[in-house]
Amino acid sequence: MTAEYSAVPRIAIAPARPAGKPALTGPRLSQARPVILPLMTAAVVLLVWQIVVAVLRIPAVILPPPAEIGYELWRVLPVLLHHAVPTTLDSLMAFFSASALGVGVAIVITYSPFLRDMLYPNLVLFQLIPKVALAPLFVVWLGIGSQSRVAFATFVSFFPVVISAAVGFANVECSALRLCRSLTASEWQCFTIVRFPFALPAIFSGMKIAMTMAVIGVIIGEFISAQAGLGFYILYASSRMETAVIFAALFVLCVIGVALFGAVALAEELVRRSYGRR
Amino acid sequence: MSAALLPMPAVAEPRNVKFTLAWLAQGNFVYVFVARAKTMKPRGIDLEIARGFGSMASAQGIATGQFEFGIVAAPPLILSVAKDLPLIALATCDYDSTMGVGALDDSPILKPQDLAGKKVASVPTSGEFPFFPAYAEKVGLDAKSIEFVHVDNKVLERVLMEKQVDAITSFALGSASTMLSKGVSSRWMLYSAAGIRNHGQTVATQRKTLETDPWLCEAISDGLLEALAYTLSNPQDSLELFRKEVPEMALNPSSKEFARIGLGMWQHGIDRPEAHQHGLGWSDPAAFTETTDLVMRYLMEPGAKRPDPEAIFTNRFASKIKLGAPEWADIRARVSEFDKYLS
Repeated sequence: MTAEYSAVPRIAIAPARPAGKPALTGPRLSQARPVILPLMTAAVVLLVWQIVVAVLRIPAVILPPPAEIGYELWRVLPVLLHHAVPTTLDSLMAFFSASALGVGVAIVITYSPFLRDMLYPNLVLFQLIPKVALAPLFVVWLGIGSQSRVAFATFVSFFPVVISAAVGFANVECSALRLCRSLTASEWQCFTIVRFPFALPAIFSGMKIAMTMAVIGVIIGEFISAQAGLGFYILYASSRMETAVIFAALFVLCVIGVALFGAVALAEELVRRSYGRR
Repeated sequence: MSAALLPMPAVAEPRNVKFTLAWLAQGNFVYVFVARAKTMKPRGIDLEIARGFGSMASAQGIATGQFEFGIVAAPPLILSVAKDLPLIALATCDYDSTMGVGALDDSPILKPQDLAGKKVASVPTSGEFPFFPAYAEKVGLDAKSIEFVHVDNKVLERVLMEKQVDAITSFALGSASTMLSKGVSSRWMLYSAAGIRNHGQTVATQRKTLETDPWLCEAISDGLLEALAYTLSNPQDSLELFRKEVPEMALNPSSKEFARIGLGMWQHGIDRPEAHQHGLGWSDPAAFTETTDLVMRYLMEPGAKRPDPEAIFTNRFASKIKLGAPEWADIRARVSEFDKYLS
């Protein structure tokens, strides 16, 4: 009850803006906070990092200062971008494979109780396996080409999609389904009009996780075997103890990961809007 | 043998010392486990041994203080010092790290020049990888003519055994023994055979530790070299001790054979004039200078400061144990089994 009482005076005593003065920055600041706050936090962390490395005289091979990482990033950026191409392509291939496979399997286990009982516990069990330990086996099974990396990344990123999509398909509103059926809609129509749109938030939340997992999977794959890629380049730099270059490669990797994650979020927004217009 | 127990410097209280290997517990590290079981405890040291993840990772672990001492191969140690890590080698334990290029016995690759146009797998974090350009130059091979594949150490020997690649770069000591213990024979073209002298394992610590606690450094060095001498004279007993210390090595015949081959191949690299003439643990300044030249030329930016030899190694605790000619003859007879892999 306290919350109800306290809400009243807050609305009533809204701070009055003095006439003639420009709008106070308060509300604008609070709107910009999600952007400014993390940037400021990052800036402070980088500054502290730079100072600590200088004061404690930590060798650059152990922990390079941010300024040196920035310099190395600028110096080797063309090489990093060259290696970013195969990593990005493999990640996208793995993501699309995992998404298609994950949604497909989720549909199957949604419509077949027999297959659900057969597969779902095993999927959960597989999800618990530390998959990194299996990475070398993909090289044994599929060779040292990109197929082993894509297959491993697909394997790693498949589970979030299938679990989320299965939950999304199962948690659809029963009344909407009943309404559809009462209007003699076919099972396909029920799926496309009700079940799939209702499951979209869950599917996309699984796909967002899958996108980041696909990048991680490809990098792990490149650690196991590769002839190009950011994972390959990180290992190459580590063979020469070029720690600042490793950080620069990780930065590029982060940018790619964020961009790909953003692309999935954007796709989600577009798909939801397209369904909203119907 | 004059390898009687060395005088023991006073380490006042029994103390735990964190020690890292350069790699997994295998035949070439038997002496570290023998040291823990036999020679460290009387010196009041309880050696806590951790597996390693490559010499460069060991060097970084020691430099950051995660470990007080550890094994680092000489070339990566020199690279670490050139990169400003405050490390120093207290002893050199063998005189050929066995860096090289390996191919299967039935491979058409018979000489280094045959590698042109072939697919070669390497572990980029492995110590020999950065020195391949030097090897290629020495043998007159165009390194760009080779298709390199980076692989993880877990699959290195396997991709060769399955013929997914034509050859691998590695430390023959580890890779040849891994394959041989599985019945697969390989041939090795060592960097040392091309004139690249590269010492093997060194016992490394921080320079600060040497300055502030020389007694501990001496105790660790003496304990390890005494254990090393024991493994040279008593390989069977040493392997038994090793199996007790690392029980998984006794689980199957393949593991036992792997340890035996690894120990033999490693001792092949101790049977060298450096150890014969100067005693165990001695570091050859000329070899360190040559390796430093390679590091500066192939791995450092032009104009980078060259580390002083005194900053890389010390012979202060070395050469206390000298084996006699009959003992070296016994060792030679025993390790000649591995000549064909390591010559």
